[in-house]
Amino acid sequence: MRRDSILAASAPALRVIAAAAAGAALWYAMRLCQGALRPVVERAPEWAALAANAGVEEALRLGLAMLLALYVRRARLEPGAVGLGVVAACSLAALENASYLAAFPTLDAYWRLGYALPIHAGAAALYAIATGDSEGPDRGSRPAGKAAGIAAAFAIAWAWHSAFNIVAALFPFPALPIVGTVVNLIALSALVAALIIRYGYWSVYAAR
Amino acid sequence: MRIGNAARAVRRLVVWDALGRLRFRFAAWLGTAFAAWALTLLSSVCLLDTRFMPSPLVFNAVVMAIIGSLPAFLAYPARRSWGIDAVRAADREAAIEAWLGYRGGPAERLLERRAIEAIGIATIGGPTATRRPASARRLVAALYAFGLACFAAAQIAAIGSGCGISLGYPEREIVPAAPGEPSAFDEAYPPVVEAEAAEADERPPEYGAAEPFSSRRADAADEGRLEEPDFVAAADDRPGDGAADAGAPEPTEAPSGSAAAGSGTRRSGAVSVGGDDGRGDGSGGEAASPGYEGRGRAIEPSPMIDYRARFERQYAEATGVETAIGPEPSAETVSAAIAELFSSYDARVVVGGAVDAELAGLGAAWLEAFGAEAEPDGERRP
Repeated sequence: MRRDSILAASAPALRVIAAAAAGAALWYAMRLCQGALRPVVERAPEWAALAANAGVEEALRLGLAMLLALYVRRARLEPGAVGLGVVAACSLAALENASYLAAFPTLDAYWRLGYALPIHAGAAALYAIATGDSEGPDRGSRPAGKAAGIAAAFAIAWAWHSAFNIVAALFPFPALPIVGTVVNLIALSALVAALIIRYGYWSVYAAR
Repeated sequence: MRIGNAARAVRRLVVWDALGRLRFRFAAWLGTAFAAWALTLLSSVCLLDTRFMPSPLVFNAVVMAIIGSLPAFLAYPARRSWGIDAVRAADREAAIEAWLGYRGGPAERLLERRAIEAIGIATIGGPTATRRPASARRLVAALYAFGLACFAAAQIAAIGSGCGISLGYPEREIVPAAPGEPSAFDEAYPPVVEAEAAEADERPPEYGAAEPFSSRRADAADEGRLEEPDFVAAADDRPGDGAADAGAPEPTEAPSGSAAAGSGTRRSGAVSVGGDDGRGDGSGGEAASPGYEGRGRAIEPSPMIDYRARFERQYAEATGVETAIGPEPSAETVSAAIAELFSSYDARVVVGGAVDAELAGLGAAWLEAFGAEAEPDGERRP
């Protein structure tokens, strides 16, 4: 009994650690996949290569989000546990930032906290909203509708990610870090608020 | 509030509650990030000059990871009960909850009216979010306190280590060479170091520098026992200049008066670097003023202070008078001291003794021919 209570108390921390580890694994998988894809995208225009790399990242992130949603459903956890995908995204972003810092060791790398990190975390929040089960009358909605929602989320996240990568690489301008930071932080704030309301307060919304 | 707006009022209530929770999570992230950053700073300062000292890359990567954890805090899994908890906190008589749970029927308008009244009462002073548990608030407060303690300890340690106030990667402007390890000068000019070592080996013991070069890197305890020339002590007594007002025992610059007399400028500089006293080597291009490290103030490394100490030493060696020209000597004082120091270069030599007869005759003829312009005072410049 005592052991069960200890496990129950430490379960949230263990889930956070597992999510962070999943993010690290996802980062490694992304590097492997992008490396494998490099011979193909090398011959493509640069914008296409950037979009392809973003597509690889988003596809793998979506895969992790779907696995997480499946686990939450099977383990009968709170639906909001799909928010752990954002924890994984932060872990991935931390490793990506570190690798970027190793390649370009300047303090400009801190701009990535406003420019790149919200893209990762925002995409993870969007996938969490799309893949999880919410409380209320729409629980257990039709698989087709859910698949359409997931596909739309993937398309939005891929387009958003590609657009910012392409602008940063091909059409940079002096105010880009500030503009990108503001836009991405606004988008991330909205997505996080939507995530919290969907899984924490949706029962009240659905009642009326 | 009009009937029909109850749904909007309830949604506004829960949105406000959600924002309150996000605010608390932001505060928790801020406390955690502050504590983690301060702990990282403290660790870096404590590990300064050790092989465990994190590199700037690692330090900045950790700081970036700490800052970048904000989305993880904000999007941490929500509980499905938050909505109804927010409603119950604002509605002690369950009027709102009853209206929310009623699915049409004759009591609809009655329940809605009661719900609106309850919401109106609950939001008289503006909508309020549910309070977080006291344990959570205490935990966040403890994080801030822990961060503050770590930050203070890190700054004290940084000042003590000679880094000054450190908000980022702690770095010294001048890194003292560890005892037994080659200094930058040693690595840059190995022939000079070898020649010095050979010269020191050949020097008679009475000069005090016969020991090998490496053995001259005495530790702080040994150096503390070394006799210090008076002019250095006098310089240390000057405000803002010496190591005396640092309050910390500073190793002496010269091993002894006799050793300094026999070793010259470079020798004393080598001892200074090897002795790890932070005073620097004049030949290194960037000299630290005496007591620079650990002073906790922004002292720009000034080579003039080191040059002045060297000048005072040479002055004492040349004239036998141990003195100090002060922290801000006047131009006249400096000029007089320099003239006295270098007066030996202007020495006149009296040429006497036996003179060759032919040369004497030649000189007499010269004087006879050009006697008006000659000055036979018997002295010649060397």
